[in-house]
Amino acid sequence: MQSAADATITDPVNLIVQRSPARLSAREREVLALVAAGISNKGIARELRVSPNTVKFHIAAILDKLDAGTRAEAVVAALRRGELSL
Amino acid sequence: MNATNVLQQWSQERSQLAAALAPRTVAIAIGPHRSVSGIRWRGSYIVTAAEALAGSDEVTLLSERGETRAPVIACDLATDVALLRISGDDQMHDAPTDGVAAAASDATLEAGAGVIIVGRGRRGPRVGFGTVRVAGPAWRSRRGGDIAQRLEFEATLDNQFEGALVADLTGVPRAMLVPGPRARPLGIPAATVDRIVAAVEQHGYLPRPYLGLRLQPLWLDAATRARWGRSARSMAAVAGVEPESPADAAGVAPGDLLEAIDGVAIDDVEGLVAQLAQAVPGRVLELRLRRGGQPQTLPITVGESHQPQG
Repeated sequence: MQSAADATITDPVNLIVQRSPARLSAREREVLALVAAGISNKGIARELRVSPNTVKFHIAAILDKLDAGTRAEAVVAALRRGELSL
Repeated sequence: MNATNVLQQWSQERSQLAAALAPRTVAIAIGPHRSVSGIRWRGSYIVTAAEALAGSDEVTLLSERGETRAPVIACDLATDVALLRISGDDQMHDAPTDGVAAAASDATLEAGAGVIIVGRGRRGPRVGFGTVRVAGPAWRSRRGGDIAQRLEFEATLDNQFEGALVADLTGVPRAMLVPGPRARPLGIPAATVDRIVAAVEQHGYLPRPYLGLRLQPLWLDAATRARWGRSARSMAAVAGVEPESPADAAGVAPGDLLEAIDGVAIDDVEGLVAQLAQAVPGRVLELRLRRGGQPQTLPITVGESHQPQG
């Protein structure tokens, strides 16, 4: 796969047009697995030893990456992409 | 009786019905400005829309009896049903019923039937009247939730009605209102809400069956479909197996193609979601898959995903 650096050198437009769908980070997958299990933001924060605001930040990033409007949509999208286990 | 009297009576009966149902509702404050509705379902349980809670683990309830805090006990994104508990010594849970049926009815609603929708905002009850626009058969949400009846309503409602009580015109609770696709008002039938409430009453939380499989779709060509005797165009390929999960213990490996669980064909992730939703943790299922093209059967014990604490 062409790296972002290569794309910049050869064709700057590719950087925008051909970027593959953003994958979730390992942390985001952890957060989403807990969201799928119905755990609250604070519960997730306790589990992952981060602040509730960090959890909210992760969830916003997850919704954005998966182009999801709701938590349920994000869970379905991640399951389909093989980024979340059942 | 003249026309004016008939209209007055009609109007009075509507407002009486609304007044009788209002005590069953609460407003749930979400952040400093927004609020949604909740329903005193039974005992100490209040139900509301799971999505609306946006991950809160405790919320402020406002009702005629004042303000109180309530923990979120269960949050099921599959059916959009969340449960809150009000404490036993809190006066709030003895909802007066004023002659209105306390128990919800599991009977299906008919298209065209009139309904009253009662929610609550920070300033008091919010009432809408509407019609059952669609009364379809049972359906499964994309997230794998089994919903007893497809219910869509014709009604003008704002977002404070999310989680509101939908009752028939005799005042019997029939559904919880949730926003569907394109903000269309949908109903989660009383039977479905009851199922979630009953599961939480039994276990103290909502058990979630879990296998530990990550799947990705694999598209089959016509020749492979014919050779393997499959009608669906896709199969679910195992993309990963969580360490120490039931799938790991059963010996499932990345690259295996899922064929069926307990005799029910699985064609995609949604298929597994649906089958798993009905599975009982602790039970052994028969997992049929293809490894290197060869059929194989593995017993797998259904596990349980993360349990909420406290």
